[in-house]
Amino acid sequence: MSKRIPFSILTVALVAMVLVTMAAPGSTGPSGQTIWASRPLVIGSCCDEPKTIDPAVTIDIPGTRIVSMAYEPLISYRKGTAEFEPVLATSWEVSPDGKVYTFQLRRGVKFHDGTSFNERAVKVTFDRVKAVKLGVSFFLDNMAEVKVVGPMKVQIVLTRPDVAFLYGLPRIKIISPSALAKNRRGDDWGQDFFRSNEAGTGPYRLDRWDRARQIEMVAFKDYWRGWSGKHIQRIIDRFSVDLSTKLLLLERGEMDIIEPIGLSDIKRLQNNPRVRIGAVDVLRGYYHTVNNQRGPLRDKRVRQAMLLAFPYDEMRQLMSGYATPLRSVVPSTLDGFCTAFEPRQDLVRAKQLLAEAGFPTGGFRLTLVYLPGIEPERLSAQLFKAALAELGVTLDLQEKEWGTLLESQKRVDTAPDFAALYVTSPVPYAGAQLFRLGHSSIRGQSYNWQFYDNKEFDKLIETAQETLDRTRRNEMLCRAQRMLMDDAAIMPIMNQQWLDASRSRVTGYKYDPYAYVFDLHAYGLFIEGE
Amino acid sequence: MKAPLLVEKFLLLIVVLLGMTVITFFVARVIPADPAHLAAGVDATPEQVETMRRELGLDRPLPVQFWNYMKGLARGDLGRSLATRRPVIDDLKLFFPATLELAGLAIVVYVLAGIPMGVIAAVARGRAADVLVRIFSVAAMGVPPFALGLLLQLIFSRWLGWFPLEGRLHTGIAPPPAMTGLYTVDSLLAQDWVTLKSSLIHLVLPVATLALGRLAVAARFTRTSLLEVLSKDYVRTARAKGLAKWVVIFRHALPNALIPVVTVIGIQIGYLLGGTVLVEIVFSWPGLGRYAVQSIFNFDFTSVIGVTLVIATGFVLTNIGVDAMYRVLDPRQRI
Repeated sequence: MSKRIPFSILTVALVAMVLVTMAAPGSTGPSGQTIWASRPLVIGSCCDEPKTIDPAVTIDIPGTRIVSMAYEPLISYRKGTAEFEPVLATSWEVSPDGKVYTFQLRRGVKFHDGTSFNERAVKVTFDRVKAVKLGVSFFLDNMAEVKVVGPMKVQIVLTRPDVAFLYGLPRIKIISPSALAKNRRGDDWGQDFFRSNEAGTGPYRLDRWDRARQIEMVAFKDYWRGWSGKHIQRIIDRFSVDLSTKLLLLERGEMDIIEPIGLSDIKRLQNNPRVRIGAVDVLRGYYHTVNNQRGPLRDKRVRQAMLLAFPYDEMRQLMSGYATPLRSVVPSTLDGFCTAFEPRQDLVRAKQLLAEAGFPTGGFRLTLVYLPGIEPERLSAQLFKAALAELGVTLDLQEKEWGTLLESQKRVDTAPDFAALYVTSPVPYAGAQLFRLGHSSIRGQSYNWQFYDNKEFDKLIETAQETLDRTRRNEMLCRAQRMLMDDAAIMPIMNQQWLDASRSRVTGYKYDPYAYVFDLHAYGLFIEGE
Repeated sequence: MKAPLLVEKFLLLIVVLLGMTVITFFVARVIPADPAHLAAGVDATPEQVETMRRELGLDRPLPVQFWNYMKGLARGDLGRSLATRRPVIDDLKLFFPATLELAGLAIVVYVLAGIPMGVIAAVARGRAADVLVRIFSVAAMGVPPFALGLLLQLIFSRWLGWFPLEGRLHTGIAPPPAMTGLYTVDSLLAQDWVTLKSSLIHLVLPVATLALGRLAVAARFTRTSLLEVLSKDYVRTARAKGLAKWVVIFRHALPNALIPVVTVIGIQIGYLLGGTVLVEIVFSWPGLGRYAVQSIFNFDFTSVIGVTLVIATGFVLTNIGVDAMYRVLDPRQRI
């Protein structure tokens, strides 16, 4: 006996199948077909696993990368530029006095825990970052309060005008208030939960964390941008893999992106047609810090002689073209940069300056500290030692671990005369870098390892930060840069490019310095053929 | 082993662990670095550093910190990692099995291969087999483990492609449900043959790297010790009585020859538990050695103390095991 299936049941089943298929990753998105990569994207991370993936706390590279895939900010930098674009906010306005920022929020955005993004999420996130007082909270130093002023509308009120505030906003990632409420223990603001779990709106959600091995992120099916076009369904971030092993895995096609790589690795990879080498100018300067407050270096003329002694051209040659001159104390990629320094060696003039300072034949001894295992630091230290020897100055070189170096920099009498140091600006704003390198309120802290103390300099960068007019602001920043260089307070050595390597099948990947550390822009990546 | 002696040994274990804790705790505190500043980041304001210091419990006087730590230790609580804020005991449960699996298998290989090699060399003294074993011993002992690891990677992984380069499992394979933390055992219990195969194949090169150098030591010691015993009067008597050659060697000579070998193996096992660092780094093996190195670079004192206690316990337990073995091998010890 045969039974006919009613037409209505068939119709319902067909509609249900279509709906289910649309909802699942790998299916059609709102405006076209999704073509998922057939295999995961495997990244060889620079470092060990993240200490935390709490977006309010994490500051390390691996943690920041996971956060950049799982969470989103109100506004972000447009890929590869310092211009802002809306993300979870659709628009924003700044009050004429520069103290009130009003954001209209995006509707139809879901968190990974299934709840909806709204104005409360913004308030809770900002309140949490401020209360936790760790990690990215320094971006909100001047924030007075967050006010909900209507459905999907919030105002952030500052204690004073602060142009750096907007630059820091892409670092503040919005969390689910529901996840926080469920996982808050006492006054911990959910830190135990967010250390190993996430609840963001980003395109990828945390699928699995195999401790000390890898983190697997998987496409979030309800992501608000939709999944039309070419995308990667699964991203695996591998940790604690030795660089030489990562190079082998890349060559064998078992890894897709590795970063950073060294100069010697380029020679090995450059003839491999399946590997692409990336070299990008970043928001990072390479310096020799100068202890301005001790011994012969207290004399400005001696410091100027030091700047003239360094063989800048030779150093860049050793970098095989992957470095450019640093013509100020801040890199040229930062908003507010101006030329304030000509990096050239002039030993004759350096000798004259030393003679004027009472050291005609040199005859004193200085120390330079550098970190172990960083080839450019060792090279620049040795070049500097050789150059100073021609002036009769002895330079002792010491390797120190980061923790002990950081501790020794806290006091003038324990800090070395020079330290080899890379400093990446947290935002593409020159004022931020100038503050960290020279503001007197942080002598011996942050990166003011110069112990630079100049109230006029302080005033310039403080006023610039409150000046909304860009032209006037940049004039002040330029004066501050020239002041620091006239005082020869620090030695800008070079602007070293960021080097990485990826399989040529990975399309859409380019290291983006403006996204601050290691945002992959994973949503726009795809793996082609091979 | 007599009960009082066992009690004595375990009392010794407690004293050693207590001493190690005190020394590590205070030595770690005099290192010129600030873990709170490191954890908060170089850009942290003094307020942020102080917040972190309070969170880590480093704002209290040193004796109070020590007292709190010892109270926790008495409850089996090793504190929280200063770097990750995770319980140290959880980290040790995670990382120690990886090292145990690696070192354990290396020990098995080195004992099962090293002693027979030594026996063969002694029995075939002066002949080709003896010469081969001696050449192998000198070569294997002369190569540092990390260099051997890189060499094995180059030959068997890069050139021949027989074994994976690094890690405990292939990238796409998830670890088996954690019961012991030993992937081979857990995947066997879960009857997950794909994971078992992957974990076994990943063990080959790091185990070979760890075992080869030590295997050579075991072979040399066994050879020397057995040759000495074979020249003793009681062995000569046994031969004169017409006993078969292999009975003389295995029943009369080898047990006595193994006494010094067991001592050496015991020491080697102790070192192996704490000495896998370089091999773990070369093969990206997420074990205790890597964890220790990370903790040291992070000035993560609580984790360093935790690792120290595990390694010290391993050493003392191995020594107790060696004492027990003496009694099995040498009847005089049981009197």
